Amino acid sequence: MLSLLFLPLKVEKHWPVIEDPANYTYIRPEGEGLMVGLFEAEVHMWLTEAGVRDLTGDLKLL
Amino acid sequence: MHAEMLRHFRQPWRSVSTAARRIVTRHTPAACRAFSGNPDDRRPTPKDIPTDAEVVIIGGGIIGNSVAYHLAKSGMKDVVLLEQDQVTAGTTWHAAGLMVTFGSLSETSTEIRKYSKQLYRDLESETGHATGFSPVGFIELASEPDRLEEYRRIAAFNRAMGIDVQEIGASEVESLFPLCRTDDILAGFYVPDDGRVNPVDACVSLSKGAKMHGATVLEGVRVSGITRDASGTTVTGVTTESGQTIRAKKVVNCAGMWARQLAEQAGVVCPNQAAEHYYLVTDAMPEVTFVLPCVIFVSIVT
Repeated sequence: MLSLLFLPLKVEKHWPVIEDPANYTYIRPEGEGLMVGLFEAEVHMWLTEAGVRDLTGDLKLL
Repeated sequence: MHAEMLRHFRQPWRSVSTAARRIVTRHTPAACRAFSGNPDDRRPTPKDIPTDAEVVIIGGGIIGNSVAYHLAKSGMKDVVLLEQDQVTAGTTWHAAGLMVTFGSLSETSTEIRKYSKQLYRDLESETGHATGFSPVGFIELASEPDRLEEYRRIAAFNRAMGIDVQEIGASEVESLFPLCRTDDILAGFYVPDDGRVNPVDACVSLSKGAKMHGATVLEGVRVSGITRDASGTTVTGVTTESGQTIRAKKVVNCAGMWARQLAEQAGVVCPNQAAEHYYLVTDAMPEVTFVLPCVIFVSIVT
């Protein structure tokens, strides 16, 4: 199980990407911080009824 | 148990929203804007839209631009890509950009992964626009015996295909990524020159390459339908929401999460459905103790 310790360590940009499939998680440095990606253990569909066609192409502000 | 854990992630969704805003601040793709020229005046006029094409590609994300790049580079003329908003504006913009060659038992998939890594490494020299490929390494963790066995089999197959994947111990994982708690890790599968790319830059670089090889990339053109001949079985082109028709011998549906509904209009079943996925981006972390998402993460794990 991957978790983060409370250590006074600076995030270094050269750290690798690390993926923990048992916990549906990936982590990598992003800028001066971290990106934490969380997969769904049980898939949740998005916009099944309304459909996505009504969205514009611009998802940047979602 | 995992579902229970993940349910907690949905509740602090204000945090997710805040993180997303930070990403917008950090990543508003200047490269994308520069690529598009004047963002206030990037809608093509009717005369910009050709009446005929060899291939129309619908969708200006990473897939559509890659298709356009590779077709144009292979010498195909009259390749036209239509993007409803702006190149990378859809789900490509949110991609994590993970570049990983390890992990597939498919020879085809593994070759595509290897090719992609080489392409993202080399594309800048061809297009002048870096993809952000950063070979910082990639570690897949095995924390369960079954996963360990699976990854050992995959690693053997991948090594036979030329991927330098190394099985490393927990202490080495920790030395490579000091914030990782490793007490239950059985092994890490590490490819030193995998890593990540910047999805926006990779997409823009492919798009630029496509144009350099003669493709036409039009932003702000939304396809309203796919036209067929009288028999109904042969695609003849596309119509746009602005009322124009482009005749084409082939139409490629690269509409990402819009692909299913677009295909449906043409009577084609495209089994593609958007699913939820969250990511958090922290602020700068001079010291980890300052960072809220880590607190959330630890509390959920426990």
